[in-house]
Amino acid sequence: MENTYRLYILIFIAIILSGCKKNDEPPENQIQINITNGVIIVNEGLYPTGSGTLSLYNRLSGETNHKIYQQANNGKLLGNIVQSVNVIRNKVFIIVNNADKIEVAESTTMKAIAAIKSIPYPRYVLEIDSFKAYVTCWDNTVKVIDTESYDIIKSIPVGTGPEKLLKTGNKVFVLNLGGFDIDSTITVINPESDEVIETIQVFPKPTGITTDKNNHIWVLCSGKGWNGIHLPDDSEGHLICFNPADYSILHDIDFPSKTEHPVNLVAGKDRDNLYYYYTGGLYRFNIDSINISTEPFIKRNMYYGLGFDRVDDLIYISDPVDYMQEGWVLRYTETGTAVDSFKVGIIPQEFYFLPKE
Amino acid sequence: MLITGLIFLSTLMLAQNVLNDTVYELSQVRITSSRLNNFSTGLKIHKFDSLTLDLNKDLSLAGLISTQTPIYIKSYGQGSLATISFRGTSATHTGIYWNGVRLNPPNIEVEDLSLIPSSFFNSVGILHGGSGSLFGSGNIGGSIHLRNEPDFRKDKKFNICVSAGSFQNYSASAGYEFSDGKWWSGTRLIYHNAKNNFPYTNLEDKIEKRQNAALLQYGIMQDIYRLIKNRHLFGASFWYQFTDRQIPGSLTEKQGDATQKDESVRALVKWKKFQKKGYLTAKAAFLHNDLHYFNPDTITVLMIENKIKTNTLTGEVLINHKLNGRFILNGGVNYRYDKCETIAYKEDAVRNTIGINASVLYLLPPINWKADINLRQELYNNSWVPFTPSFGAEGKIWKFVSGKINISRNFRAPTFNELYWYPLGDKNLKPETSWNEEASLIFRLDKNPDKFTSDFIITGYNSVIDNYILWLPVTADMWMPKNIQKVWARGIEIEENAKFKVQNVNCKISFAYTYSRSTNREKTGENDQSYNKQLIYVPEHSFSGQATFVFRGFVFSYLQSFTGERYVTRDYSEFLPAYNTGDLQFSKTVDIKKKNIKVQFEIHNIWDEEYQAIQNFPMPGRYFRFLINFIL
Repeated sequence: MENTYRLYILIFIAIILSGCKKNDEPPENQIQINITNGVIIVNEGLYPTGSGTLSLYNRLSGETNHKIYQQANNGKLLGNIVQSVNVIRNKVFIIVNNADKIEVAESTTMKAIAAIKSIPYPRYVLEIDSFKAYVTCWDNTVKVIDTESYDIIKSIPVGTGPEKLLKTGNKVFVLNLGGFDIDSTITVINPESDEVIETIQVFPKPTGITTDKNNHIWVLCSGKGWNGIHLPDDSEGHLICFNPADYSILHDIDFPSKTEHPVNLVAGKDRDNLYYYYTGGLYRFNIDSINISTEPFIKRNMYYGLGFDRVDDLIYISDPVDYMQEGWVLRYTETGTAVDSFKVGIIPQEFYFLPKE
Repeated sequence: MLITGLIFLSTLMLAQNVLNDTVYELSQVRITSSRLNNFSTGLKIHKFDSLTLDLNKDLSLAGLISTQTPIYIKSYGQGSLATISFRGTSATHTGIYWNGVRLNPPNIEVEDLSLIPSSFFNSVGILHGGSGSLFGSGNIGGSIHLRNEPDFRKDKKFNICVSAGSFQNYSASAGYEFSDGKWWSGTRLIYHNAKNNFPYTNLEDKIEKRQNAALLQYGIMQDIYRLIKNRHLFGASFWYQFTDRQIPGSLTEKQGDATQKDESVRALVKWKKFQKKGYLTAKAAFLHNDLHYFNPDTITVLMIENKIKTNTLTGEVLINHKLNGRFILNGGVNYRYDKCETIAYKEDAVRNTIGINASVLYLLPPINWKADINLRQELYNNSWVPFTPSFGAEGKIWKFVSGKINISRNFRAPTFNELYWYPLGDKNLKPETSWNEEASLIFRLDKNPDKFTSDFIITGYNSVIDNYILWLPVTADMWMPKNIQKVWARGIEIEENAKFKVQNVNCKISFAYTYSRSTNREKTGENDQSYNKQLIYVPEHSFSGQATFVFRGFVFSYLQSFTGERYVTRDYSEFLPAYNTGDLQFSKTVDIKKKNIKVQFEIHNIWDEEYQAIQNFPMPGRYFRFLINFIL
């Protein structure tokens, strides 16, 4: 009875021992990553504390591999908000927006090769020629980077919040989405001289760009405002088509609502159908039609990323659920039939389709 | 898990052992009584003893709670934002009260506990569970009560404490207390300067020093009380504080150089009249908070600068009356005015709250039981908020066993951000409401209090929160608060506090374990995998244990705390691993010519555990601190 304290001291020692126990984690297995014949899904990751990830969908096996960059690099995290990827000269350029960097990895193994740092809020990267690439950055510039030495060669001032970019012929078109602000212009750059040759005035928030079968450029402008919120100065979205040679507007189709804003834009197999998100799901627009459809082609409440795989001719839709858990990818044919769906990482938002070998 | 089993076993065995000790009890002239003490029947209350407060006076309230209790503190790092998650709820569900006045700023209702110096108070109490019927909105998980109790024994106390620690951490504090029997004055000052440049492992697996994490803080707390003929007590308290902090980012972001300044002015006057059969109190307070966040990054268009100003005025009158020795009645009215100015709102957010409350406490001396009923109704900007009743009972069950039960209805009103944030706030949001139930069994052994005392408390709690507000995306870029979730929080708390004497050594050993299950009961969409899953950042298991030994002016104390896995995504796809930290404190007091000098040495995170409380926010490894305290 008098010796109860001994028991306490015993427990106390047990606690100390439990504290000093160090768990030695086994080294993670190195998994061979092979991205050929795959589709890379870019998952943004939790904001602001998490890290973005890349998922890999294998078209042949139908399997999905999660966190492929971590797997190939001893668990190394990519960083906060993985915005997009592009494969340039057998290297995967992974844009990590909120960490001000581009991670470069070996395309066959996903092994890290280099990191381009101190690149302010990068968004998208586009290969220009065999030596250089353009990166849109939210310091309102396009950075010209050397794809071999990873040096920043030049900084080209553009509009506010440059986002997606497209090269056609001998011109690069940069959509100035506006960042957290507003812009309504497209900057045209000469990829040989890296000089701005034109600024095209369009409508607020140009969000998506693609070419059609006639080699005309289609741009989707979201319009001022945000979905779900009704503000007095909201403006309607526009789907416009212009000739890349002289920038003459060939079509300008406006959307019926000022409070609903269309986003994304991809072209289908024959580049005669365009797909975008609008109220209630995915919409289809035939380039020869005069009006936009009032009913969604595929009904969905939650959608985020949009892609079109030219290998299997399938539409890729991503569902971020509530942005606080793993999202899904849903695949559809161009007739609107659901093919399948699979789980990916947190906030899936971009797709990169690798060619078939 | 093994440890909890051990404790349980040990307490069963303890039931046969009786020893006691009272060295730690501070005999104090207590003339402040409050609803916290009298009308929280059936709820679990934890009060830090004076030794614990004295040993940890260099810590913030966040540090005190995270090391001394199993309550989870979500800390963004040393000196950075730290919020509380109590009984599986979020920080908006725990009220922080200073002399009975709620401090949580109305814009977010989240109080940063890292900013509150624990040396500013001689009384820190934690009330577990729902106490909306006593204190109003936002007390679903629990509430924390800070105050300075006046002591009218003729005395003068003066102390100066200076400390230096790892990562260029320096602090100084001073306190002066004085009483001539009629007046009591307490003055407390603090100065804290820290670089917090602790080493951590970055994403490239390299050791790097934490940057942009410095902190400068100073503050003063002045309490003055006047006692007139043991009939009237007048009191005034003033608390000014300024903190200038750098805000480090997460490991996955680029390292920025954001800063935040927090300035607060808090003032309070109160009057208490003691009557033959009760008392009357009147109280008025003013709270002012000024927050200035600045991110010099010219590229981020998102919130480069944000200034938030909140002002609160509040007044309260309470009457307490004892009827025929069996009933104690309590009734009161209170008024509160809250205003917040920020560029994030299109309009000034203002709220007028009027509340009335009535309580009855029924004493049953023959069987040593008491029971109370509390009722409270508030009016927010002229609209009714949920009526909050509660019932509690506690008393002796058998010999050394006593019990407590409490059932209450509670609510949390939407924050100003949830209502007014432009353009996302929704003025039509409903308050969250909950029913909370809890029951405790207390095994107290104190037959021979000089040799051994033991308190073993086991508490089970259950609550369902309806209309739980969650920020959810309406589309990709827009998140809006919605009354969408239903949360079921339940759990078990086990606590053991033992004090005993082995020869000349006074020993205090305590353990506390919490099992907390808090799950989502509503689906947000077709692919939502969060149904029936644990809420993010709520550990299912947490534990804290400590042993303190006092011998001839030496104090040796060891603390161990364990925090279980916490999910960071709603579908369990990502989680933070469990962590174990140990802290060691050693102090020696020497008397030199009636003056005391205490030297204290501390080793924190003694096992050098690498852990994160918030995903990708590193915490310091092993570090040291040295204090000298002059008591004159």
